[in-house]
Amino acid sequence: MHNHAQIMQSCKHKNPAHASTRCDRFLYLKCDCSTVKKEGEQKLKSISVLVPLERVEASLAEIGFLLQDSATIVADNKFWKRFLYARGGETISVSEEIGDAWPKDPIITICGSKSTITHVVKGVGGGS
Amino acid sequence: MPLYECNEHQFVENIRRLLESGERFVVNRRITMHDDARYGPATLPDEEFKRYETLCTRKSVNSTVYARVPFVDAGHNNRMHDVEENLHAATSLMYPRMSMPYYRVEYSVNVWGSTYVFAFDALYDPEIVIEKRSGRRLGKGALVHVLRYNAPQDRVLAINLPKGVVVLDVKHMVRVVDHSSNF
Repeated sequence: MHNHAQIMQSCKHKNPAHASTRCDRFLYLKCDCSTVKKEGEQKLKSISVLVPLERVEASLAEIGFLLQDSATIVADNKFWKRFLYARGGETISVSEEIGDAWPKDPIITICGSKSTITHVVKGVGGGS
Repeated sequence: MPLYECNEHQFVENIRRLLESGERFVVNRRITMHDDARYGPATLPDEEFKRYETLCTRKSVNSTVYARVPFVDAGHNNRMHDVEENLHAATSLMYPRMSMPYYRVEYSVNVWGSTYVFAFDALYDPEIVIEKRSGRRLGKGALVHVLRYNAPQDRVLAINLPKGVVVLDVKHMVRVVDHSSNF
């Protein structure tokens, strides 16, 4: 494997006039590939943590997730408020039980990049 | 063929595990609209009931709900409710006179002959407006409260899954009993 400096050096040796173009193209293609790969690398994670909804919202706002929509749902004979947050192609849904239920443990479902998952999990005090 | 019920957390984590194992699978989704008087105002939690407080009142959860003002329920064939009408009696919580429509959403995944299901109901959002209506009981051009129900957006009903996961919409799931093991 060649690193960036080695590639630039080899380009200069072969054809100094077109070296930058060729290298740019090479680097562009490399960047393009990594972008495509990054978009395709969506991961899935669901966590349930004993933190208030406000803390979850603050953690999501930190990384630019905006509230898109909400709905009232009934699951397991309990009423929940389901919030949908999005940033680009990444989505996070947060479901929290309505009422005086205690303890409150919102269910956070993340469909996004690995870094987003890591940030959210750390932000809400999750283990990993 | 066993059927296992999951909650949202369990269902999503199960799919994540299947993805990580490289197992090929399909997620089925069934969304159906219901208006079978399953959810009435008396059984709603306070936070949700507040959205109806312009129209009706109650003492607490599971108490009888009465109409605060006369209103038209546009979601149920423009049914008219009079002031102080009993909308949901504490003695018959199963049979509310005023009810909320909802979407039944079922996600399921079949793996190795077993079905894992996560299901929930999404209530329609109430919208209360004042409109001019005419009718036998209202007279001509009277201003009256009107209750409408708006369906929740699809995007908030969906479980967001990575692009590689195939989600198929289905109308009905027919259970097939496998007798082959008896022979």
